[in-house]
Amino acid sequence: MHFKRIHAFTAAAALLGMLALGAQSAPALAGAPSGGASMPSPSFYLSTSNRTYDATVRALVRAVKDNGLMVMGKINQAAILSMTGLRLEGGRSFLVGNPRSGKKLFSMNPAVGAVLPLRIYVWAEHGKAYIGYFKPSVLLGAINPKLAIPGRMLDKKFNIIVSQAAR
Amino acid sequence: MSTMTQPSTNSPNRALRFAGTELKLGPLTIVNPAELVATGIVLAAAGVSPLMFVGAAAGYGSMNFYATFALLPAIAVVLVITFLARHYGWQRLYRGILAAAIAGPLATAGLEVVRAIGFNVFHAMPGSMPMLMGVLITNRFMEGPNIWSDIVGWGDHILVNGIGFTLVWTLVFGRRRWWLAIPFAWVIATFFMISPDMKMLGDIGLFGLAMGSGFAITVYLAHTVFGAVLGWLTSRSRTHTSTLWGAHLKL
Repeated sequence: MHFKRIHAFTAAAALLGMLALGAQSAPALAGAPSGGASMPSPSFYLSTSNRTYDATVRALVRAVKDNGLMVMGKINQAAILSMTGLRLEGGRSFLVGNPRSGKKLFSMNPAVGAVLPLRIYVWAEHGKAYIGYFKPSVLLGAINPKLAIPGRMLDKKFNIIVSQAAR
Repeated sequence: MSTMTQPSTNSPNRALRFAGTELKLGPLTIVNPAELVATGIVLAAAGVSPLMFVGAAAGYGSMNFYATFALLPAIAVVLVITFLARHYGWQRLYRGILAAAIAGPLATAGLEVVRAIGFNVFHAMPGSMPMLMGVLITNRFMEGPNIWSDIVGWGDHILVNGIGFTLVWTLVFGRRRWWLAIPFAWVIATFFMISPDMKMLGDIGLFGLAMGSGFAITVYLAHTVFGAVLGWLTSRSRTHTSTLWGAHLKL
């Protein structure tokens, strides 16, 4: 990915901010990561993985492929933030999509580029791995309520992907 | 340089005359112009690495692009000129390059000790500059650093930047008293902290004041060590004592 004007450590700090936002929005689940119990949000889906962090990452990539989607990009936030001196146990975002459904959604409304490709985040905390994402129906519906319909189909797909990865 | 010699003319009105290894431009005489031109090219090449960081920070192109199309050719040019300097006996240039090749990395290593303490102990720096340069040059910011990007980043910082700034010292100023290299290093530090590089580090403002005074203190202390090591080593080298203008220009 090419940045015309990179504020590198700003970007790293922004990624850290996103991470904090994600943790705060997590619903109250048994064994939820720190900060997760305070602000549950129905739009954020969080799953605790039964695998290690690395195994969860591998399983997620496989599950994305098995469900007809593809990983279009990866952001290794833990590695990026290591440049600022912060040591995270793990933190990777996967930009997930499908060119065919992307074409349909972009034809319906080009503003979907604000949320597509969708993002699934895997992170580790206190030795446990977690998977989290904002529900596609919520994100797409925020752009146009009509887009919530294809978004709900993606919700189901994401649910299956995450269950397979966390199993 | 016999190749530069042309039959001298008796005409006093001739503005441009070659005599031996000297080039006369009116009242000004350039001694060994070929070495002077080669020195200028080396100095220009030495400026590529710091300038590519400034250029990328200012939004003009990417570090990856500059590294491929400007830095690598610049390194090649310096290597070729080093060979030519040895071949043609341009002693001032050759010794200056050799002294910079040794003193530059050692002085930068000294700078890094202070920077590492400022970064890891006092949290006075926003991040690791060499690692950042590595991921930007190898174009893998989103994947974060790996061994290769770290080698490239540290190599650029310690070898290319370190030798580059030391070349300016040895080739422009020659062998001076050791402590004079400290104000020279402060000038580098000051330019760094007022340059667009500050944007690359997270828009921390002039002199990094958005991070408090720790950033500027760390940078000046680190450059003080850089200047001290650089000055001490080059003052004991076989670098010529003449300045660039003293060696090449005569009125």
